[in-house]
Amino acid sequence: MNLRLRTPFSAAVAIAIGLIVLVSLLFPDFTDLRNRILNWAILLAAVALLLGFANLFQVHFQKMRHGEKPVYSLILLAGMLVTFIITFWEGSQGFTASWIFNSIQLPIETSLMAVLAISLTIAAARLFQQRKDLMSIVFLVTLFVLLLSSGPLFGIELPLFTRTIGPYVNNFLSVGALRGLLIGVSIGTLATGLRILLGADRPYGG
Amino acid sequence: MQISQGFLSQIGVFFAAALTLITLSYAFRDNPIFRAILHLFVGVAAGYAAAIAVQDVVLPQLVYPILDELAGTPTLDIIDLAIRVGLTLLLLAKLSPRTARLGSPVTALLTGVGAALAIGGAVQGTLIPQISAAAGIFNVESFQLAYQGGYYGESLQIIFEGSLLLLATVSTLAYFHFGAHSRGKQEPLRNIFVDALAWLGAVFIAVALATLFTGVLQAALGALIERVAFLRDVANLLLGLQ
Repeated sequence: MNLRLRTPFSAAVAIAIGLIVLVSLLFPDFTDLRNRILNWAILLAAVALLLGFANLFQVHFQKMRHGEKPVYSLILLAGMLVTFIITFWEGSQGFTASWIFNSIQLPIETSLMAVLAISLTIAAARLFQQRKDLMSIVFLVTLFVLLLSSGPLFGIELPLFTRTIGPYVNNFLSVGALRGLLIGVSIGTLATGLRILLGADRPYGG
Repeated sequence: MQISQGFLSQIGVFFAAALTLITLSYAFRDNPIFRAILHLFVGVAAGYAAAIAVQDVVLPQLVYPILDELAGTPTLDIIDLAIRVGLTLLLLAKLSPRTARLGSPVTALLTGVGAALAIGGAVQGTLIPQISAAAGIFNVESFQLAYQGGYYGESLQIIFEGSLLLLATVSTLAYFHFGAHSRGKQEPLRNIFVDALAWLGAVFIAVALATLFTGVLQAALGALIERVAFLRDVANLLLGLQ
C-alpha cells in the first residue's frame, strides 16, 4: 500500500489554519472559530503526547527484549506504567498519585536542580582556565559582584555591593542588554513563524 | 492487607531521602544507581504527563462527547465531533511507518496554529512592550522636575542612565547584525561603526548572561539548601531527635 499525501496539501493546511488563527487575533469576530481551532490543537497536542508515551514504551520494550541494558528499561517501564495507571485511576490529587509525585518525582527533580548548583560552580571556575579573554573577565566579575550583592555574606552585609553596584548592574547594564536580546529573540520568532506561514519552512514532513 | 496512609507517608519520606542521596551522589561521580534513578524519573514523569493528558484533555474533549453522542444527549455539534475524531485518527496513523504520511496534515495543522500563536505572542507579548519600554527610557518628567528645581546633578544622572540603557539595547542588537559590504574577491567587511558597537554589545551580553547565570545558580543553591535541610530532618527523625 503506497499512502502518499503530498507536501502541498499539508502546506496548504498549515498556511490556511495559521492565517485564520493570526487574523482571528486581530479581529474579534473570528474568536469563536479561533477557539474551535485551538480546542482541536489542544486535543491533538494531548494525543501527540500519548503517541510519544507509546513510542517511549515501544523503544524501551524492544531494548528489554534485545537485552540492551534491560534493568534500566525495566525500571523506566515499571515507573511509567504504574504511575500512568494509578494517576489515571484515582486522579492527580489521589493519595497514591500524590505519594508518587511527592516521594519520587519531586525529590529527584529538586536534587537534580541541587546538583546543577555544583555543576554551575565548577563550570564558572573552569571558564577562566579555558578562555582567558575580556568577555570571560566581564562575565566572572559580573557574576562575583551579583553574588556578593544578593545578600549578606556570613551575616555581614556589604552595602557597596548590595545597595550600589548590584542594583546598578541589574537595573541598567543587564536590563538594557536583556531587552536587546528579547527584541532579537522575538524578531527571530516572528521570522520563523512567517517562514512557516509562507510555506518556506515545512517542518511537518512530506 | 490494608496499608495505612500514615505508614505509606513515612515510607515515602525515607524513600525520598534515599532518592535524594543517590541523585546528589552524581556530584562525586556518575554511577549505575544514579542512572537507574534517572530512568525511574523519566518513566514516572512520562506516566504522570500521559495520565494528566488523558484525564484533562482526551476524555473531556473527545471520549465523553462521543459517549454523549451515542447516548443521544450530544454536547458538541456533530461536525465538530467528526473533525475531532478524524484528526485524532489521522494523527494515530503516525504510529505505523507505513501510514505515517497520513498524519502529516494534522502535524501541519499543529505547526500552523503554533506558528500563528508564536507570531501573535512575539508581537503582542514581547516586541511591542519591549520597544515601548526602550522608547520610554528617558524619564522626561523627572528630568524636567529636577532641571527646573535646580538639581542639575540628578538631571544629568537621568540622562546618563537613559543613555546607558539605550546603548546597551542598541549595541546588543548591533552584535547580531551580520550585514557586510562586498569587496570583490576580498572578504566582506562590516561597517566600522557597527563593528565597534557590536564589540560593546558583546560586553553587555556578557553582563546579561552573567545575570541570568547568577539567577539560575541562586535557584539551584536554594534547591541544594532545601535538600540538605530535608536530609538533616530525616536523619533527626531516624535518630529520634524530632
